[in-house]
Amino acid sequence: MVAVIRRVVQGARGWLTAPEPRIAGRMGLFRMIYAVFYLWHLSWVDGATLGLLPDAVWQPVYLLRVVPLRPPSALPGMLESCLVVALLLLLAGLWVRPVTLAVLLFGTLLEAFHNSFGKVEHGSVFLVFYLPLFMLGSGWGDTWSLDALLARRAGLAPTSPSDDSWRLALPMRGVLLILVLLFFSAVFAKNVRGDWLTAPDVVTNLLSDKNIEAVLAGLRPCPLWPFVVASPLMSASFRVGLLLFEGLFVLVLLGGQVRAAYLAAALIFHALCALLLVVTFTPILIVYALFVDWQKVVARVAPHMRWLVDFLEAVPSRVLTAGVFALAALAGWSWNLTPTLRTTLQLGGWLDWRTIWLPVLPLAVVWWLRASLGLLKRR
Amino acid sequence: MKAAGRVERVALSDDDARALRRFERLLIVLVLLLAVVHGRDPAWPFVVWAMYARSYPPPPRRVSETELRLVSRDGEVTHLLPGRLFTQVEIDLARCVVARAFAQQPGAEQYRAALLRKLGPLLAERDAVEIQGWTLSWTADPAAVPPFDLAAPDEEILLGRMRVPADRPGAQAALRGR
Repeated sequence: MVAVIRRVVQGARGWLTAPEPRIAGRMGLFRMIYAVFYLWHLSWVDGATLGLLPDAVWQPVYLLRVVPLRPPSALPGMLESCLVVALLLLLAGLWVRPVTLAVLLFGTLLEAFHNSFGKVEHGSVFLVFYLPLFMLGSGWGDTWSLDALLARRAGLAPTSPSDDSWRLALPMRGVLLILVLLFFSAVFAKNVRGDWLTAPDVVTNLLSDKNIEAVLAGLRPCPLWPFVVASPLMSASFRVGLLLFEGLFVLVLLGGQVRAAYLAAALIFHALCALLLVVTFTPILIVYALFVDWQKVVARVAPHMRWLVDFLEAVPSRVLTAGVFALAALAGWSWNLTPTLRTTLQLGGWLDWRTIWLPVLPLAVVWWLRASLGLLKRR
Repeated sequence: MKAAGRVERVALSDDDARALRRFERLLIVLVLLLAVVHGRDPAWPFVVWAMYARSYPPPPRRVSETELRLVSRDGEVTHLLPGRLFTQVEIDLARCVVARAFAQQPGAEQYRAALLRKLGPLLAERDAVEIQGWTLSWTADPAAVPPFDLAAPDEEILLGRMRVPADRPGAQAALRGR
């Protein structure tokens, strides 16, 4: 028994300490994508208005019950502004470690507040909590950041974007393990706590409910609905297929093209659920972005970005730091005073929780095809 | 280079070994917290995903929804469903806010203040002078696509109306009317 446990521990450590190609550059670029995505997510959140609602609708989560008083009504709006400042500094890669801590604290408090009005959003837990938590001790500020530029000017050795150190990949693997665990919890909930396999009408009733929701939201109802109702086989396939998909998510731990193919398939699944079934799990999108090789993507367009590097090199360090901080502070100050920043991030209201999946779906299909072809070629 | 999926034994420096142990402890703490709180919703962020595990009752034959109507100075009416008020996740909260803002009860003023703040830019854009709250009802056919015609409710009940104050507070989010 002891020998088996030892082998499992060794296997887990081998998995955790395996190198990941171009991880240094990938994490730096992911940091920027994370900050932009979080700002977009935040543009739809309105803590300042929620702060005005009376106590009758206030149902605090445990985290906010630590303090027995309800937060003052102005606090959520202030938290939003501070978070905007922190995210813009994170985007630029300035003071990345303390700023990541600020994103974790402000974001968690704000989302806890947001979740204290009777409905808990499950899809945002990675964006708000797990990602910044795992990134706290990481090197996602070592590349593609002002910190890296300033460190190089100070004579410190820079981290190469092509560095494949396992230590830089640890946060990614931590996030993947929690993702596997949560998908497994869905299988557990469906079979042990719920009656997903035994209740015959679970899928048809769910789709009916979602169709009504879609019409009330001014969206088109699911076109598959009549086929599912007409065919009990299709309904059963949907139930079993979903359980298999969630239960086999653990395959992503195999890494390589298997991981890429499964994650791409999961992304297609989320996109179809959002576009056809009005399932609001959009904040989960950022987790999948963590596994895209952004460094490889940027390497293809880098020759066209030379002007930006030349510009940054020409600006003195103090001007860069002061300029970025001043812009971030201005954005945070104006966040709740004018709708300009929010509407810009939302592309005038067009880019919402559902439409964001429209460009993601074809990209996910291409990702899945490439990974699947890669798997077939290896055989 | 070693693939991420292949397992190999590697010799770690003291610093690397410490980093790995710290990371493993963090993972264990997170998993224990998830297990201890059973992933219940109020324990956020230590929640698990139920992902539609519960069974659903048959869909209702009668569907109701609250609706806001913004009446502009020239009489034009903008229809606004609760889904446009907050995020899609908070649709029940939006329904509650709209319904309670027009109810004759203590606290209605606070709901109205929240509504006015949220609707600020749209009220200005449409030059709205009055906000009306309505309950609309439809008879649904769950087997049909769509199950009912949103534009043709069977019944419309006026919940109440309020004048838009001239010095309404500014708000931030862009809202689109139907």
